Amino acid sequence: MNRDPSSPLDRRFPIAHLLAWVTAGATFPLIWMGGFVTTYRAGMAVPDWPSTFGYNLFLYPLESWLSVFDVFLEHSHRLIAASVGFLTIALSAALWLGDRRRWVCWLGVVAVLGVSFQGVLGGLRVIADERVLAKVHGCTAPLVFACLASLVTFTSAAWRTRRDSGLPSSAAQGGNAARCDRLISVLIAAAIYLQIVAGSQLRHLTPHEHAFWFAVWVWIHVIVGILLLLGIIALGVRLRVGRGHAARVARRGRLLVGLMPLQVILGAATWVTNYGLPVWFTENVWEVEYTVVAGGAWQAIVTTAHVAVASLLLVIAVSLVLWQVRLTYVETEACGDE
Amino acid sequence: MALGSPFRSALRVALAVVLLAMGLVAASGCGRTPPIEFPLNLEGREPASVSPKQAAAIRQALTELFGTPNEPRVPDGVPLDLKRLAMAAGAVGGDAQGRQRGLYRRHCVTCHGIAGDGAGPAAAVLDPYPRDYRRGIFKYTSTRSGAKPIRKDLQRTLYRGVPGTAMPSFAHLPSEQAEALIDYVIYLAIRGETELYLLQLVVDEQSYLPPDMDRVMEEGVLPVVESWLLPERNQQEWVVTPPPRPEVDRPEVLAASIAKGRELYLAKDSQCVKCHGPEGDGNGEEKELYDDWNKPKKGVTPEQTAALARLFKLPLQRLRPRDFRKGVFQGGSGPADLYLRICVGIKGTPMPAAGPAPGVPGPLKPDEIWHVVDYVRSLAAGAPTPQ
Ligand code: HEC
Ligand code: HEC
Repeated sequence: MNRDPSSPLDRRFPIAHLLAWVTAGATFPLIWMGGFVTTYRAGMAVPDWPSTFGYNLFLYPLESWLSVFDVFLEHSHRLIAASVGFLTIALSAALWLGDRRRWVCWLGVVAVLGVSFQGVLGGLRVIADERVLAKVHGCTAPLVFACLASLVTFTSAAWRTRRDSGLPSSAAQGGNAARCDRLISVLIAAAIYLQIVAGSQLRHLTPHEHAFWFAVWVWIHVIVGILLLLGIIALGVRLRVGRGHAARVARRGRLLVGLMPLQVILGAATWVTNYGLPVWFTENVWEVEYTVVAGGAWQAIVTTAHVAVASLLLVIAVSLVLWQVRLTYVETEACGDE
Repeated sequence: MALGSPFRSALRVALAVVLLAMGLVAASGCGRTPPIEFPLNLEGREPASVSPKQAAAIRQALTELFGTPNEPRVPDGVPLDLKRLAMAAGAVGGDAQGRQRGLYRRHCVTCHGIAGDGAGPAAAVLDPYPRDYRRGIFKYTSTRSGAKPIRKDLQRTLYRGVPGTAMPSFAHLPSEQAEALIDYVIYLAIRGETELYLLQLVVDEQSYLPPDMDRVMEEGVLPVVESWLLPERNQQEWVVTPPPRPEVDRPEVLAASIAKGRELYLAKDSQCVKCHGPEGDGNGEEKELYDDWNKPKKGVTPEQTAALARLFKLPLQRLRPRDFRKGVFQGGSGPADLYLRICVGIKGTPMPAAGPAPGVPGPLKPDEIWHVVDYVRSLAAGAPTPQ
């Protein structure tokens, strides 16, 4: 364990690791709130930024904040975002003070820049009243989330010391099969992100967009979604401890396998709660009467959950890739050293 | 090889994903959205057949009369509330008190389009397509055939939604917002019909430019406005109120009514079977049915149809006569709703009015319509067909 790059202080009080957890943890509700803002189309409920109706963000009166629903959503989103911003700065500071790995410190800086960039994007989206910026704002959010979550991984004791509950022993770890597993994971992470981008195209429609493009994005979203479901199941089958994979790698595979079907169901439900049951379904599968309810609880929760679970999937997939890479180097380095 | 290695590979992966994403976002049309304006109604016309000068003249006349999507205006004599229109029009927004602006763009535009052309960005994948208001035809009304809906009909649609289609229920909207949206729908409909008049005047009749605005008012706007006012003013004559439903509380009375309804349904006079089929499952001999919005897209031969497709925003879509056994009724499944559908028909579709109208007896008398309603409802409930 003499290779542990963190300072002795940090090892005893893993402040940075805890802060990374809190920050990434706070990002998830932030994404939910942002999702609600879009689902309820409340993005322009507060027309100014960084102020709220002329008030300083933190001084907006509580009763005004709570009295108008749209304003409640948007202002809450801004407040949580500001908190995540401060947490990220604290995290970065903790890294520079306690972590000897320069690249991790710099990644902390990247996180600060990412969160700030994301905040400014959100602000510009309001000031310019620009749907395209809303789209980009929605697409960068999961990236920032992934960046913060990767800091959780990098600051963990297991990562620093290269300890793992079930150190890979099989030769497969370094061989072709392992390379193949890694490749699948990377493709899956990329495909999840592609889905997030496609989804944001479906969510942020500008009035002049030609109806043709929406149809194209719907098909991309559906086809990639099906491929992703199959890919994740295949990956889950491959990433078993029995096949020489570390427990934490297998666990992430299982998480993906568990979440992805939920995400597919949420996706279908998102369609139905926004656009109703398709004719082929009511003609061939189940004759049931359903009326879409605009702004109804089902529409809001299901749609936003679909958005939030997507970013969760991305974070898990990124963490899986990181660990696969990390454990491969453990193996080869260990072999080289001993 | 130091600790940098895993980091470097991870970085490479992350970088690739981010680049891919940015490329996708860029490809999907970065840059600012173009300013919002009403697109010209070129449905079914060769774009080249309207010269730029004609297009500009039509646009200008329409702007003079109806303003822009951000600043709606109505000519004198159009009974629409400008305050309500202002609330429904324009960019989405609100103030600290929760007063809303831009309701139409917030709630309707993704399906119905900025000009109410029914070809908003989400329209192409929906079946049926969202309504194109610009012909001033609405399907689910309580008014006699050929008449515009009354306000209450549009209210009902907005609150209830259209079951079995993408048209949502907006029951969550405060009533002042719903009223503003209804005003805006009527505004777009009047504007749309005026636009059709102008296209005919300027393009088909090649009238001198710019068009004489007094004539446009006289021949284009006022008749349309009049047609909206007519049923509201003469409800006696134009609006059907279902008469009290005969008592069917006892099972044998209901069964008798259903049996009578079935007889009337199958009778040649009523023609129902032609489209809905003897079993009421929508499998009549008439299979090639289209509504008024899709009929112009249909050529006589498949080649003609394919050639026509180019002139329309959305592809040809077939209309299915309702399968009663599903129990999904788009105009509402209550007995009074069904009475109205059968009595006045579904406007803009081949579904005819079967009830009496002033001067026309119609195939079904009011009490007969009630029997047919009972029969249709019995199919919807899955009851076995009486022999
Ligand atoms: C998700 C898509 C969607 C949205 C959003 C939507 N509509 Fe519709 N709307 C439809 C569809 C589809 C139809 C056609 C239903 C049919 O033909 O039976 C329709 C039909 C209508 C009709 C015609 C009913 C009739 O009797 O012919 C009106 C009026 C209408 N919508 C108003 C609105 C208003 C106002 C809003 C916004 C507050 C709105 N719609 C939002 C999809 C939508
Ligand atoms: C020329 C063909 C045609 C005839 C004749 C016809 N229908 Fe229809 N009917 C249709 C079509 C098409 C629709 C669906 C319209 C739509 O979805 O816009 C329909 C819809 C309906 C509906 C559903 C209304 C709703 O709210 O969903 C009922 C009920 C109905 N018809 C009853 C009848 C009865 C009863 C008769 C005989 C008196 C009849 N129809 C005759 C074509 C026809």
